[in-house]
Amino acid sequence: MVVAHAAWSAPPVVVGAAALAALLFIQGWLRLRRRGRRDLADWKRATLFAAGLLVVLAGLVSPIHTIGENHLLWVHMLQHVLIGDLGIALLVCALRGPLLVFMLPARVLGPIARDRDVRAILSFLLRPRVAFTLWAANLALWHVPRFYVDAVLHPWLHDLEHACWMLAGTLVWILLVDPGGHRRLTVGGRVALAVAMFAAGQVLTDVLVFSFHPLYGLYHGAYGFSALGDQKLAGIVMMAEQLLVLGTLVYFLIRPRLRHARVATA
Amino acid sequence: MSATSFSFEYAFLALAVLAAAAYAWAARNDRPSPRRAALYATGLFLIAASLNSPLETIAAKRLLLIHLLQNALIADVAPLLVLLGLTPAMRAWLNAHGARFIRARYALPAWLLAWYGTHIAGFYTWALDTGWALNIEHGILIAGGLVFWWPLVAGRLEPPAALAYLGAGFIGSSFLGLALIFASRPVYSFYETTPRLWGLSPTRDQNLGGILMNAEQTLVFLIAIGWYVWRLLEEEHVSGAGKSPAAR
Repeated sequence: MVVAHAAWSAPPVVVGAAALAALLFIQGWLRLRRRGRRDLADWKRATLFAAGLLVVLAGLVSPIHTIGENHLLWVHMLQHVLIGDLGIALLVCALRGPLLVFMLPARVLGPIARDRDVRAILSFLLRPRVAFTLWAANLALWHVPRFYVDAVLHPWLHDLEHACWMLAGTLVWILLVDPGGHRRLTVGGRVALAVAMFAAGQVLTDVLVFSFHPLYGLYHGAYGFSALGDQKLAGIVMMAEQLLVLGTLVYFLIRPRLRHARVATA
Repeated sequence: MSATSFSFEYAFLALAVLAAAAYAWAARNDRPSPRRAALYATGLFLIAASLNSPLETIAAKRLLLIHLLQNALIADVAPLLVLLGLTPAMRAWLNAHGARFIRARYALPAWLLAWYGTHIAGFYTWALDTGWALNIEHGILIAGGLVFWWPLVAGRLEPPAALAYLGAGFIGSSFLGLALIFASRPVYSFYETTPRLWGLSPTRDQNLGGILMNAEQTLVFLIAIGWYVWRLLEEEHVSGAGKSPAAR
């Protein structure tokens, strides 16, 4: 039995954006394969992209959305890390290399690439310090109890919040994964950014876990979770997701050096 | 016994004195910098003071929270400070006398075994019930901490390997704190019947203990990880390998 308040929802904007992203990816993926570069547009990339899109959609249209909005803080936290971190990370990983360029039709890409203002803005936003500051400020701002509650109560503000999560996540994950090969950060710099993100997330985790009282008045506990237990679990969800996603990234970044060290020792 | 009364684990008081004397003896020919000496002294002080003070009284007779704080101090912080206080010559001497056999691949499981093994409910309660067995518990934790930090302090691991080691240690050890944070019933029966302090129920005491333990480990590990990330960046800077035209 599907509980009424744990239902699926399908906002047209979300479904439309997901469909558009899928279509753009498919046409870019096919174009690249037709040019004989199957190595750059293989099934792994398609799987990664599909997984990323599904993770974002799961956060926005599945019962995760309705339960998180109405009943459980930890589910709301799960939604945020899915759409702003894990989903974006998978999508950015899928678009490494020429696929990123091929995804946009030439008619769209050309004017964007030639527009100096657009390039200047992107260049500014993708400065490591700017991107991290925006990401951390976004994390802090939307967890201020007043803003958090207002966002849940006002759908337009909630949509804005989700857009901010996705934008901030995209900025930092572009730096972490470097899909365009711009080398804005060295490997050490990328590891440092991942650690800084984890440390910032840990501050929020500690606030949620350490609090003696529920911070968000809308959540009174549900499904057997007390309000305080729900809040602590929200902090742990944040920590666990970051450990998993950022930890995996750091592992892949340092893996070649670990191998190199082993070979050197041998 | 009042919560502010002193309790003693004399073995660790004696060990701290012996370790200080050994350091002073070794320092005759190999003078450590004031910073190293201060780190070593702080490490010994944390071990001696946390096990020979009202902290010990509260830990052994009243609150799990304080016992876990005590364990975190002697297992994580103090051993690291003690090892950081050693001069290169002292570390070389230890290497030549057996420490070279402490490899990261064995140290991490050994430390995790010490960490979880001493916190198994049966062992923990037995140690508290008997009193004297607390010496065993604390000895295992201190030894585990020394073994865990040794491969790092001895410079055995390059930054990438050190990051992997610390990451695995952090994740591997975090489950105990998390379990205590979320447990809805007291895990250690000993603390169900002890006189309470500060109005903390046994469950609340346990939850707070888990939070404190988790926070302490996060802080210590993040500092250590931050140090190795900094070294990684330094290495890239020196080698020029990571030179990035687009870097800001």
